[in-house]
Amino acid sequence: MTEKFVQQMKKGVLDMVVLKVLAEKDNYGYEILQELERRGGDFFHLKEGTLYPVLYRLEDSGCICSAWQEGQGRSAPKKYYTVTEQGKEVYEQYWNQWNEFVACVKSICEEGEV
Amino acid sequence: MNQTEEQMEKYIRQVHRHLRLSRDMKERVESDLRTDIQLRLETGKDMGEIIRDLGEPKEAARYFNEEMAGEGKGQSSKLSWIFLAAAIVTFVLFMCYYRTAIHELSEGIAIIGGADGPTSVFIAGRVKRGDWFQVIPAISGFIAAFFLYANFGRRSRNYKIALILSVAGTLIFTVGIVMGFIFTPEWFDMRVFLSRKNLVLMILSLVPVITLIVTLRKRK
Repeated sequence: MTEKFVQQMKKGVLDMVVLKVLAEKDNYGYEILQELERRGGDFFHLKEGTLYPVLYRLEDSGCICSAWQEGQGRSAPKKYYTVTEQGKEVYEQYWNQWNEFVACVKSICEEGEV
Repeated sequence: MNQTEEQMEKYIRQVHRHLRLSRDMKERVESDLRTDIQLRLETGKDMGEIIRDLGEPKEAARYFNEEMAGEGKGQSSKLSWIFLAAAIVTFVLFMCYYRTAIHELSEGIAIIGGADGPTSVFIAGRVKRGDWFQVIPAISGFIAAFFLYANFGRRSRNYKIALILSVAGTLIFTVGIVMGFIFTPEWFDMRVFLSRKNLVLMILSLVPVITLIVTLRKRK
C-alpha cells in the first residue's frame, strides 16, 4: 500500500528532479541515475527503464536535448543530455507548483490534527 | 570486437528483442543502454555485474515496456491503420463508381440537361475524368496521414514521405481546380457543384490540405 503511494509520488516529481539535476550539469543517463541515488537514497533508486522514458518525454517536449560526445582514445561515443532554456523555465514552474502543493497538503493534513 | 564488447552487443540485442516499442523508440533505448553499459565498464565492472545491475534482458525490457506503454505502438499506430483503410476504401468505392459511370456513359444513359447526346457524353466523360483530380489527392492525403502516424521504420523518413505525399496531393487538387475551371466550367455550375457526389469529392480532396497543415505543425 505504502509502496504504491511512494511510487505514484515519485512518478509525479520525476520530471522535476531530472530537470534539476540536468540544470546543474550536463549528464549521461547513467550519471543522472547515480546522482539521484546519491541525493535521493531509497526514494530515487531508479531502474534505467524508469529514467529513460522520462528523458525521452522531456526531450520530445523540448525541455532537454541529447548529443553525442566523442569517446577519448578507443572508447565509443556516448550520449549525454543537456537542459534547454525552455527546460529551465519549466523547472522553475514545476518548483513553484510543487511548493504550493506541499504547503496546501500540509495545511490540509495539519488542520484539526488529532 | 573483444569478448566484453561482444557480450555487451549480445545483451543489447536481447533487450531489443523483448522491447514492445516502435523501431524509433527501440533505437533510442539501444543507444542509451550502450552508453550506460560503457560507462559502467569504465568504472571497472564486468559484464556479469552489469547484467546483475540492469537485470536480465527480458526483465530490463519489461520496465521500458511498462513505462512507455501507449507511447510507442498505442494510439498513433491505430490511427495510422485507420488512415490506410480510408485510402483503400476511397480507392475501391471510387473505382466501383467510376466503372459504373463509364458503363452508363457508353450506353448513353447519362445526359446532361440541354446538351445533345454525344456532347453530353463527351462533357460528362471529362467531368468524370476530372474526379480523379480530387480522388487522387484524397488517397495521397490518407496515405500521407498513414505515414505521419506510423510506428514502423524511421520517424524522419516517414515524416518526409508524409510531407511529400501531402504536398503532392495539395498540388494535384489545386491543378485540378484550375484545369476544371478552364476546361469544364459546367462543373462549377451550382447545381452540379452542390450535388451530393461533388460535395463528398470536395471534402475528400481537402484531406491532403489538412494532412499538410498537421504535418507542418508536427515539425514544430
